[in-house]
Amino acid sequence: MSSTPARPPSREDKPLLTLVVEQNNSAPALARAAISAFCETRDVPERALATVKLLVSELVTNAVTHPDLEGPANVRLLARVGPEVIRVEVTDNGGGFDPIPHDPSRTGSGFGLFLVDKESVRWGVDKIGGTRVWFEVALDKAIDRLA
Amino acid sequence: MARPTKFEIKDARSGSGVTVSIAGELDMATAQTLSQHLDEHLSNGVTDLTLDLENMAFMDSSGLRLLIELNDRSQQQAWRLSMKLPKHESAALVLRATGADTALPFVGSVSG
Repeated sequence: MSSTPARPPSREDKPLLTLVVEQNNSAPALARAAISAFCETRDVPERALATVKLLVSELVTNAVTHPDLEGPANVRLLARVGPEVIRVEVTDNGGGFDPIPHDPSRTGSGFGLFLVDKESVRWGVDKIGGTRVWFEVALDKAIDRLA
Repeated sequence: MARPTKFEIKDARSGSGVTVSIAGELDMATAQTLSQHLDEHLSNGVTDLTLDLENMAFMDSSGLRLLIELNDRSQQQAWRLSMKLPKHESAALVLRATGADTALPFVGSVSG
């Protein structure tokens, strides 16, 4: 696992995780294992960790399910623990996907971003070649109420 | 490096009923395995299926989608489905966040 800072750490950037996984159906499990190990060494509370694990799994699943038609690709995971939130980015270099959080429906599509929208403090999507979805989860439950 | 938790399926069959207990993480990879396993039971005369998720370590919406499909099938076809709620937060969260914990046939501690 690579766990090195991408640039010199500033005061705000505490610990950083970067991980690149191949776009296949074991990618969600690998991403969850990495984010769990990262959070456990940085005192991320149990409840926040459960949320982060779920949202990472959803976004990596989305990235794997909507692969680049050009061929094999990677999913990049980046996480940073700040004073109040943990911020996670999941980037694919593929065709991206429809960034609209659907209501969960019986068709079963769109649960991923619905969950990101519901369980994170903030989230967003950037088009930067691939698709980057980021979200922030409160480390302390009290922050949820302020958001 | 942390390894993903091992996915395990255990069966306890009695007559036309079977209780399938899940351990480990239910996601896009393992949901396929579980789906095939349950299909075998259902095509072998099982009419009463209990899914015990109590010790499951994690579930995401790939797992949830499988549970929803099973519930739809049990209503369309003539077999009975019941499920036991997971005790771990990492598995229970997706059910609670989507309302599936009340929409799906989970047996609670209050009423069977």
